[in-house]
Amino acid sequence: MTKRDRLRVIHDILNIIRRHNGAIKPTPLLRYSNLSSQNFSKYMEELKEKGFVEEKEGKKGRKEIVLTRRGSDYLQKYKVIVGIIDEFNL
Amino acid sequence: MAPNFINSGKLVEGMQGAFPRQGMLMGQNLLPELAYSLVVVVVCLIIYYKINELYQLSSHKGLKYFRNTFGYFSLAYGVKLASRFIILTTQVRGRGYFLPFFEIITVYASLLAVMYLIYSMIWRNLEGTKFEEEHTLHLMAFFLSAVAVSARHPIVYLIAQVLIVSYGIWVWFSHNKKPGGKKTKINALYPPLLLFFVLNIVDLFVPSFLIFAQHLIYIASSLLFVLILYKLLRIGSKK
Repeated sequence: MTKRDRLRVIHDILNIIRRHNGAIKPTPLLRYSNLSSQNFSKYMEELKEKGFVEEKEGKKGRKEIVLTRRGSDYLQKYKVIVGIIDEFNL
Repeated sequence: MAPNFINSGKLVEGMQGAFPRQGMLMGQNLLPELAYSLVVVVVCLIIYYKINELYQLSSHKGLKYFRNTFGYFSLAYGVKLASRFIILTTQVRGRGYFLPFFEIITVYASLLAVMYLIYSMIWRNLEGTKFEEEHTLHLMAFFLSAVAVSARHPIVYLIAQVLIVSYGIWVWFSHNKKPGGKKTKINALYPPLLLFFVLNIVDLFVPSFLIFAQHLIYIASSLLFVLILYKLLRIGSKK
């Protein structure tokens, strides 16, 4: 299995959230994302910092990770970003 | 693609006290050069903003350097355009004294544009080295442009450009000859981009040498920028 690059990992995490109707609890997200908990925390920090996801309280007062509009933008533009990086050898 | 700007300083120096009429300037190919610069500025700005949007989302260093390449190209040609416009439209005495500032900015920006283009290809190899720091680029470009303009000896500028272009070609070759290394089509655009960059320098020293080819070079250079924009838009439309 090849190592996923940073952009791909971000895409995968955001895609998991989107597939769960835009909100998911941290534990299943960690499981589905296929990352170590240390790496997962690192990525979550980056995603929150960039405004791709937000932490909100769910129905039972449990923490949920919610996909933001900016996160959806990333998912939408991901292929373009990767396409340009490949095409221009960046 | 270095704007041949040092010439304009000489042109102005020779005009002190007796500025030519617009017709004379038009006769010196200023109008096509204005049009060419305007096309390059507009295309580069569009590329800059398109890439910037993607960089803001991805924070990918290669995209940042690629974006900066077009930002500095647009600055170089924008300042060149402004200076040409001043020469064409104003009759202010002493303008020859402030035009060197335009020259420094143009030379500085065009050097940076080429350096950033090279960085966009090799940034992974520079991680963790002192060359990773962008201020090294700015210091180098500022030093070279200040020396070239203050010495008023374009050979300094020529040497700087040739060194940078040679370095770019070397990086390009070493990048492509790696076994199993991915060869992309766009790489084919960089050598002509660098070639026109050098041809513009030849034009700087021996204007008569390229007098017949000058318009052809303007058109080909503009087309190259348009082609890069086209490729960007095509990738964007695929999604």
